[in-house]
Amino acid sequence: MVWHEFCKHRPSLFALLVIFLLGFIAIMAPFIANDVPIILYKGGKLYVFPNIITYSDLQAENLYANFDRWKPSSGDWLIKPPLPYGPLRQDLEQSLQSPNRTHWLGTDDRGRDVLSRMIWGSRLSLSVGFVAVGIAVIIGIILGSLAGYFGRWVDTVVLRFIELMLVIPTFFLIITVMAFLPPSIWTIMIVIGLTGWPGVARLVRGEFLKQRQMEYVLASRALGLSNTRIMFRHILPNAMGPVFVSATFGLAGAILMESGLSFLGFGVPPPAPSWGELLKQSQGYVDFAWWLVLFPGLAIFITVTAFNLVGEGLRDAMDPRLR
Amino acid sequence: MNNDTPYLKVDNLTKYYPVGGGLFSKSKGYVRAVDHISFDVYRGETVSLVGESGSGKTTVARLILRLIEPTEGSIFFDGMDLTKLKSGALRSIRRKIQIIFQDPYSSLNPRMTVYSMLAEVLHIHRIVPREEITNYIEHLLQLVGLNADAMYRYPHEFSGGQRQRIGIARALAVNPSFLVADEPVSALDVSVQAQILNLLMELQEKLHLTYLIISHDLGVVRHVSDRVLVMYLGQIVEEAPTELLFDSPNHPYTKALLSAIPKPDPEATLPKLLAQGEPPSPINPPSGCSFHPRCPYATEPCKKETPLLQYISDKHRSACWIFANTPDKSLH
Repeated sequence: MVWHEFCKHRPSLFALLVIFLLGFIAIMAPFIANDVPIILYKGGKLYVFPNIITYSDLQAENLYANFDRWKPSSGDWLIKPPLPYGPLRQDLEQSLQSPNRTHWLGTDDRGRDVLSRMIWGSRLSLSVGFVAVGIAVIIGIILGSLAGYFGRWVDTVVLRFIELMLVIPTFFLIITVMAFLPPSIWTIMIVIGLTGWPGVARLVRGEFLKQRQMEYVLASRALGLSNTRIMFRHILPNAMGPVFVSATFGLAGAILMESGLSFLGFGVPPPAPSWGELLKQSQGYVDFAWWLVLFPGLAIFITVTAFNLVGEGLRDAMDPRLR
Repeated sequence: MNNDTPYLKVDNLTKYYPVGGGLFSKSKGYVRAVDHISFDVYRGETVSLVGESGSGKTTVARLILRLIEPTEGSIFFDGMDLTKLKSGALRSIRRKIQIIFQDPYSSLNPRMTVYSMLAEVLHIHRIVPREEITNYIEHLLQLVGLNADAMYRYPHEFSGGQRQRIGIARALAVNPSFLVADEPVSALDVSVQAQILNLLMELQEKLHLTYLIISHDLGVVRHVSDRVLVMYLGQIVEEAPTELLFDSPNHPYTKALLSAIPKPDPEATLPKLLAQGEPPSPINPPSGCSFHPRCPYATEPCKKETPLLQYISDKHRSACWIFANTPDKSLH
């Protein structure tokens, strides 16, 4: 039903395809852009997927860090990923090249391939988005359902807490917190998640207030079902619709937030290639190396727009008044 | 069957809802949804509670089920005071008293199949062992006149009447002995209403159930009940066995209700007595008899003093002093 309505909204459907493509690229990054080969035959031994499995004898030769300079001896062969550059592979002779045949989106100041870094960056950006929103949704659902179901003082306390979170400018709160915490991708995920729940909580609370009055909830209470069971098995599935919509918008927000933080230097520590980090590194070269700014910026723009479009499509598909 | 002691005894039951007021301000008054009512229901009986919308009928139903807490008063069921039960004992009482709801569209969880709805209840109350649950659900569905294949379907796949049958099956799942039916047929088509009412009466015979039926439809009430309680503005104004109430109503409000039943006779004269105006607000009930502003017989004392519900004959109670001394049947 919802899916059918969603399909009628072409831009959202297209955006969903874009997201699936991005997700595929993010998951398959080691097979798409890597200097470690997919399959390696060396010294009479076959190594399958050395790009995702660490073989101790290759490690012992310190080969993982030097695959680009490795010369196969006779009988050895290897299959490389389509883009044979790792995101961290430096080649100072190739630095700051504009887009060309070998480096499709150019290279940065240390000769790293921009496309490869962006592909690996999609992993960081998407996982930050999903984990942060996951944390926010879980907190939001728990607080929102407690407030909406029990009402009275529980509701008052949760509502005040929500309002408190809403009046604090989240971005500056996160910058402040990040300044004190060790910079890592996990800290970012958790901090963005911990500040992102009030919207979800308010939505869930509203849905619970509405559903609580329904006779099926009264019937469940009359049948002696426990409050937890009523809340999470009966009401929650009926309240999830708006949460999905808000989570989709939240994903876009979290990705943007992470980019912003990384751009300001509070995000994923270098040399990890997040999209915001790529933008930050391009700061000194904006005048002439336009490819360093344009492509990561475009990636952020496309991803955020895609999530927002999907969210809008979902919202419209679920709202019967718009049919 | 012991018919001397009441199975359900409602004593001075009261529910006031505070109006206005917030965290720091005192409330400005109370809605007197249910105002000191008392009645008995005996084993095997069908008692109906009738009244206009807003008279507090549904509140009574929810109070008996302990879905809301009373402000005052007690409810004795089988000798136990329901209002004082703690959660453990309350759960075992939930197996004895069940409720059927008005709206078959909102009373079933749209995201659960009939099977999961019923299986959950059977499992939690350990009505039957796990491996017999499917058989038992089949039996329950048969009992309410549904096919066994209804089990794996969702509520939206059923008609209103079928949904109401599912609601009844859910209430019966725990083997209750007392059923409260809150407007069980008022949301259904007239043709389906009769089927559901007949089903309820059949079930009463088969399972020896006691009913408290809440309705505003006097046709329904006359069809199913042994005894009728008339509620007005949170209070019971008249109580009588069905036949007696319909033949010789005592309270002017009951008379007004009865004369408002449409008659399938084009020649019929206009109703003799109709209540004037709208029911007054339960926040500011009128002084004295709460019916006096709408009562064609009202006199001066009616505005000042509240008439009490008292016996006018053996089984007939009424809260009106003008007709207090009018013996039954004399009005005919």
